[in-house]
Amino acid sequence: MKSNILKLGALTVASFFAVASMTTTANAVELTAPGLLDPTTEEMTEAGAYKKEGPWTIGMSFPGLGNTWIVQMVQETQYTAANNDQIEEFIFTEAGWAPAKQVADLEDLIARKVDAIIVAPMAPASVKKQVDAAIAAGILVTTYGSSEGVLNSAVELNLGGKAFGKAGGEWLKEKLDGKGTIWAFRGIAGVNEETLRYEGLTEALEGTEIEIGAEVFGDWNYTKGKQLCENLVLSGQPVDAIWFSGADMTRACIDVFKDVGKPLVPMTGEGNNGFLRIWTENDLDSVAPIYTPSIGPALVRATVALLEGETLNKSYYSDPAPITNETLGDYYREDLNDAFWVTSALPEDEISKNFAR
Amino acid sequence: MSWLNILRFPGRSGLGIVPIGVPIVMFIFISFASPNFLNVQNLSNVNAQIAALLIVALGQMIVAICGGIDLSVGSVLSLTSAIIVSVDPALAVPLALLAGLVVGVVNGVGVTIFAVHPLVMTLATLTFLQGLALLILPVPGGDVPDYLEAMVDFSFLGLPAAFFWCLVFATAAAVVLRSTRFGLRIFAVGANEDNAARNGVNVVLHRISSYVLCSFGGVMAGLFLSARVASADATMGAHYGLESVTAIALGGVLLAGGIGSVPGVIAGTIALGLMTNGMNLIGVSPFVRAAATGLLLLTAISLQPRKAIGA
Repeated sequence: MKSNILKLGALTVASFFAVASMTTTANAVELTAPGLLDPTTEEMTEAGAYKKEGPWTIGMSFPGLGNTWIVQMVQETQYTAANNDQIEEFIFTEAGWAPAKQVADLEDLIARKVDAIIVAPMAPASVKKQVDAAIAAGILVTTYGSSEGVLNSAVELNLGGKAFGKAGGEWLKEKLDGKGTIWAFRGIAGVNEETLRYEGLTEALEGTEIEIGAEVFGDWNYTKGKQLCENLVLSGQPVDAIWFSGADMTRACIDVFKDVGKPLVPMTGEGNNGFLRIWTENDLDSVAPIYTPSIGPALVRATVALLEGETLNKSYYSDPAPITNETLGDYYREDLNDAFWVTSALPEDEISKNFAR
Repeated sequence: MSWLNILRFPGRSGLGIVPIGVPIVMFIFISFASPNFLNVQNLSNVNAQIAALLIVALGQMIVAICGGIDLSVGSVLSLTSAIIVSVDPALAVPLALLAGLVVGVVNGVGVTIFAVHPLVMTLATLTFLQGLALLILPVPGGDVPDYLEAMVDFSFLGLPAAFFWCLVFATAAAVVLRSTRFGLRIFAVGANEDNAARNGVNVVLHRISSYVLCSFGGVMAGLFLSARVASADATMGAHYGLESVTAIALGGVLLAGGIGSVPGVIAGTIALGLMTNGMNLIGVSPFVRAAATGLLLLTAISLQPRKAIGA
């Protein structure tokens, strides 16, 4: 009995130190501001497994440009890389939303003999061969988004996806008391992130009497979103609320409602200052999930940490509480223009320089 | 006639100094600008990266020589990608070819019999096919048949599979253009369809055939590209319609018809491929890249003015 108690005691102490050491290691590398990014697995990368002598060349393969969120994320990523003495060169490639171009970009980065690649795949399966080839060539690969086991990258930093779509869907369900007709404004057809967000919405609406009366692809773009919203509003189709797959589309639709003098209905948004401004200035009822552009800097920091020989959790997820009517004041910045997205990793002077109204 | 004169007055091939010179100048420039450009792996990458575009562009060239344009070929590529992972592997290629045949015939009939402008006709087909591809495969993924992957994943005599794909389709297109009556007649139709008709050429049949061959190119490129990435994507070909038009324009093909050549299309495709590869290797900012690409294309195409067919 005494022996068992001793064993139990030893096990407890050992477990405490194991957990403490894991927590210490995970927290040792600050990837983002506290509360923005949490580990989703206890599995850790092996210490020193990706260690390389600096200075390093880091490449990033991104699906494409097209809205202000992406532009800010790129700026923040490049700023973080430029302020790290150990990063000799940071190469950002964008594939113009063409899967074949992203494959070519990755091949070019491998040929360029970079030390690490950050990949944000349009579709994980499309770049699997190239990621495997990079790893075989001794290049560290970190992934933006969840590949759900498809990619063998060292670390995955994920955000948005189903949880993003579900947050808006749950809010609409509550607002409409479980019944009514909504319009769904989706992003770019065929893009993994877009499909996941939409799946999140449909999951949230399961078992309710809420119907999706119209479904359009606005490409996460203000101009296209505005045209589509105009068409829908002028068609006279009934609508009790609108779900948006994020980006600049909500702002576009609010402008349309105001232009034609139609009373606003509950609309989901995203943490964009332009949207937050309209939300603040109008009697709008909304919710805005936060899809932080500081994911870019976090990816750079994770990549650098691994190249320095640190250990990280294998995957992280960013799911901060969405902005609500009650917390809107904490996020809206009157001094900044509509192109600013919360939350930013840039220092205040850089934010003011780039986004001053 | 000397080689210099052929280049200065290229005749119906359109193969002048600019189409040949642009990729050569780019090759030399990138060789100096990026030390990794000339390594075997990178050159092999460039080959693989341009293969699908070359196959599509060769089909586009046939339509253009015949006086048309096919913007839907990119959607044919996407549809092919969606089909081959959604049906029994044994039926994948026949079904994709059948789809290509139907699309080509529909485009050709629309343009010739119903007199719809080629831009309008193929833009409508592009939109329909893109939607159809997304209906078949809303989320990228799926398993490409093993035999297709094997066809793009081999090397022979030290040369990658992509090289042989390019060789086969370039040779086939060259034979069709230079050694068959069909080839001769599409030049005639593209140069002046009334004259061609008066000389006994069946204009309708040749126009429809050119669209079918172009769609066939889209199917082949779809098979190649899907096998290359070992996965399908219903938006895979979205950019290929316009890029193939750019490639043939860079290669000296006259978009009004009657002028064009396989070497020119190869040169135009290589120029586009080098542009992408070179900018990635040199590390040009993505914000500068689009502007630089447009400027380069504008310069290259402006240097190839023609007053009349055959000039």
